[in-house]
Amino acid sequence: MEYRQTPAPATDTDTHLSHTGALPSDFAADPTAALIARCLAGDQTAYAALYEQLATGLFRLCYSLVLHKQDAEDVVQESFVYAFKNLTRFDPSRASFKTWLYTIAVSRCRNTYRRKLPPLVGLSQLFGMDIPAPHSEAPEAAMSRRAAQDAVEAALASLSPLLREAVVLRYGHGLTYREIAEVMDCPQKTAESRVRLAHDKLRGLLHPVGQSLLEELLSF
Amino acid sequence: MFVAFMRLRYCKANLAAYINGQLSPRARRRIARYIDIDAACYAEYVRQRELARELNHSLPYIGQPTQPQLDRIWGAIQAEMGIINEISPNAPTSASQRPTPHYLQVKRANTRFGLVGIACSLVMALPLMMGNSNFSALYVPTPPDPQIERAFTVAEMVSTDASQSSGTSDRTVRAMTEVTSEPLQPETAEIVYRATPVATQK
Repeated sequence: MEYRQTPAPATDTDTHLSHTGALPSDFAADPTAALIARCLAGDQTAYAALYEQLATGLFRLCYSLVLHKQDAEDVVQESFVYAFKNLTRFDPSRASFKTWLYTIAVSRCRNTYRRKLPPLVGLSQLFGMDIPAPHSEAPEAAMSRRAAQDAVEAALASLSPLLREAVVLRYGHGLTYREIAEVMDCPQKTAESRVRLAHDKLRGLLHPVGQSLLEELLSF
Repeated sequence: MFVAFMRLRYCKANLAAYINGQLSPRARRRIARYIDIDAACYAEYVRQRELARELNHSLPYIGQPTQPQLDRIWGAIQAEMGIINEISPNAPTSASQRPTPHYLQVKRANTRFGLVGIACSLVMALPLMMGNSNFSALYVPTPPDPQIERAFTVAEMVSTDASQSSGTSDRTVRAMTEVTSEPLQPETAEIVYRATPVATQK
């Protein structure tokens, strides 16, 4: 008896339907290439434009890895300064500017959490911003949503740094496995296995969330 | 049984990549077939897919910065880069308002000082390269021959004496004997003779 239909092959769009600021179109090279050219020509407003384009995503990445607001700000600042000072060394044929910048940031994040002991992160600190609630959200639904997100964040904090990097880059920023490998400076197969291991660990940690809670979360 | 075990094992190893669209077409077809025919593989696929959806939904919200945070970071970047003040990401500016960033100014000054240093080193080393070791800063004077030193000392005395009066060679020899307290060797005397002003020679 056929109790299910053959699932449609998953595509990248399936995993990006509910993303905010992490769509593949973020990797458009042409506008960034023009900005880089202007930077190299000495146009300082181009630096500001590059910063405006990438700062939010970079901060999210750094915060997800170091789990500390001040450290994340420091890493973002150091990463941009290094990138701006070494723009002549950027090779667009090897990777996009965003991937290059993320590589710099991940390297600095690793320095940061090697220097420091793992922070005792409270859920309220981890969950930095107030998330705008849907207009018609019921209090019970908001609590459920908040609980689910808190669970994800706590699970994320329990991962090892390398697994956390892999899963944040994949699901928080939509990077392909090849791009993840470039950013993390590892073979692509290693990046794949890290995402898979993160999956396995997170599945065990997030299992108590429950099917009904997930249904409710996905309904927003 | 063993086949089902291996099938499930293959699915578990590749479902994350399958869900993320990162498998080759051949591998994707294989996984799709396993999900279709094997209940355990299908259940595993559902779990992995829901996990991926949950992560995709939640992770983008982690660490969203505030505008004051971004502005603070940009201010620090400006300060470190020497970018002119009050340029915000959206502020228009004209082509004339583009001073050289501070880090570039420092770099150029260092280059100039470096060139000056190289030039000074070449000037000091030039006599050495031309073979005139007397003017080289590395020239280490050797202690003079005691006999020659005595001869020059006497010569100085003789020239002083000559400047005061006409002087004779006898007086010269007497003066030298007084100074040296031993008779001069012939070669030393020759040196003194040559060092003695012409007016006093006989």
